[in-house]
Amino acid sequence: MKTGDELSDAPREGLGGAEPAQLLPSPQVDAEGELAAGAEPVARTQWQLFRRRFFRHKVAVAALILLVLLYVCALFAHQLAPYDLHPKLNIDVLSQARKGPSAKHWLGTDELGRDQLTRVIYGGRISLAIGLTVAIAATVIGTLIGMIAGFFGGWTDQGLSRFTDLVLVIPDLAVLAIAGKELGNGSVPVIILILAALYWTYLARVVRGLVISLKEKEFVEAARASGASSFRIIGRHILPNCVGPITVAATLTVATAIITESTLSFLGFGVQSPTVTWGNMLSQSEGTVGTHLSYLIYAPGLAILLTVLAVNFLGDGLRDAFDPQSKH
Amino acid sequence: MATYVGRRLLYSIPVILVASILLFVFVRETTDPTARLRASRDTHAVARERARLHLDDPLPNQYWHWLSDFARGKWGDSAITHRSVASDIKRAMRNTLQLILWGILISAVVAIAIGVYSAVRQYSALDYTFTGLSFIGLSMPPFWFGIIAIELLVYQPKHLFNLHDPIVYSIGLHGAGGGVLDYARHLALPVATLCVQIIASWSRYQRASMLDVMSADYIRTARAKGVPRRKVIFKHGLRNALVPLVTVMAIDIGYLFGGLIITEKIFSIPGMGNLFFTALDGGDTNVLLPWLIIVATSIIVFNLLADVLLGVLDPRVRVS
Repeated sequence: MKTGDELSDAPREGLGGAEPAQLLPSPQVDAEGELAAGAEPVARTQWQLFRRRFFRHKVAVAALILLVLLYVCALFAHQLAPYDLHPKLNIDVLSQARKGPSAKHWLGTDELGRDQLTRVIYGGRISLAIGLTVAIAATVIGTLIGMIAGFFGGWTDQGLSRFTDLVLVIPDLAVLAIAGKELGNGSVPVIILILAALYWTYLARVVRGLVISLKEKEFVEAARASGASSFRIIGRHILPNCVGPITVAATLTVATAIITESTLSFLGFGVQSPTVTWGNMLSQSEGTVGTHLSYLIYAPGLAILLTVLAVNFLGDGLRDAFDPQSKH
Repeated sequence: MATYVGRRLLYSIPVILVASILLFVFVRETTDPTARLRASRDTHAVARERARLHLDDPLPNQYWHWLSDFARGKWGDSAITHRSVASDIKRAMRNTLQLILWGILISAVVAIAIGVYSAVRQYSALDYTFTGLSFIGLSMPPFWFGIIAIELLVYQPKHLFNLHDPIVYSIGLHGAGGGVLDYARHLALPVATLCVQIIASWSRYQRASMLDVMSADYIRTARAKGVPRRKVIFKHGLRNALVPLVTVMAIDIGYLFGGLIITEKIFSIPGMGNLFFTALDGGDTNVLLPWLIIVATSIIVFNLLADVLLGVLDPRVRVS
């Protein structure tokens, strides 16, 4: 099964997804009573309109702030973490082992006396980095393939669309587990590469649908009539109109990638110890369920949940801001 | 209708074939079935096994051999259990199917109820609550939900009330000689873990499609004619709003066969997921390949089913 966001938002073939044309930002809809009687209408750029709409979505703004904080935490883990990530296991550290949350160790310590808060802060680095990198890579691949398929149509489209279908059929978690075990030995770049290779399809479908509807528009026809090259038409007229949906889809890919990476690390086929990730922290603490050490299972999972939740809310806010017509 | 189904069917066959080539090459390149012989003191053991398995033949020949055997139902024996792969898969599938069946049934009922309620009472307090919950459900890592459920619903109550047995179990599908109640106590948590994401996603879909339908002209007409509200919602509204959900359900069910990996691992259920891990740990390509092909095929078949269902339920689709 695909992870959540693909279930909920992926445009299904034929039905379910929004009409591509609807996804385009349309300035005239959102005048929102700005034209008070007698007042001069204020000219606003698309960007200003977008910003106003986004900042009205309070939950999305909160999600954005949380995400920025999380990334800052990950970047400055060295400075922020209260303890060493890999402390020398001397008597001082070991005597602190298996202690529940306290003033000294906010989230408690594990069997070796390592501070959980420190590990959660460092663990975010990998998850957040993988989420962002996979989304960027998948977006580039997906946009390129979707753009070419949609714009040139015909056999090119047939070939690329069939290829997309093929990738969608591959059981992702199983293939990732095999690859993680046999190829990468848990190396982060390999995991990023494989995740990106599997998750570009959603973007390709979104972009292809958009381009097909956009290339029939009058302004594209006008550009073509005035002798613009395909390259220029795509770059100047089509791509800018796809920015909104692409951003939303890319955001959702971040969420998928973070969940899959943590699942993979939890299963033991992802990033390996001593590198700390939220997933392998949970994998190590799974055995404490039902014991007095079970406080160890909450923080890493909560960190994943909050991060993905924030990403999903951000995606929702971006969608509303880019596309005021859609009501979700 | 027949040509529509036929066209879809014809299109699926090459997808399965090409997928099987990709998966074959992938497994051959990543997994070494002779790995466990490396430690053997017999220095020729690996070479003998490679020759026996024709591992040094060119890949296309290997694939052709494998395909012709696979298509004729000669799936061979598992390198670990030495039982026939087909019977191992059948046994695992039976357990997995129970999870899937209950999971789908419960998810569908709950998701439709939530979706209809949220659409009819749009922007009510409960609608906002369901929206919030569905966002949490979609963002929840399933494996963490499983662990937390075991801690909070199995162990904590057991400690707290000093129970001999937990209220619900966290291991396996059956107790010895248990009845229906025992079965339910075993299934409760794995099915719940499976359902969280599905309910979250399906209820959002149902809400959206119900909202779409309820603003349609024929609903207003029905209301204007004086059809009772309840009848408008369920007969005119729900029946039409189910069409998109049914296709989404079909597609998602196809993905479930592979996605149970996590649930089965956490709750130690001897299904397809566990079969996969045993095969992966032992480098058992005899099991891995058919497993991957079956899961990929189920995705294709249920995608096909979704197309066909949509064609049946919405005649407009057939033409295009």
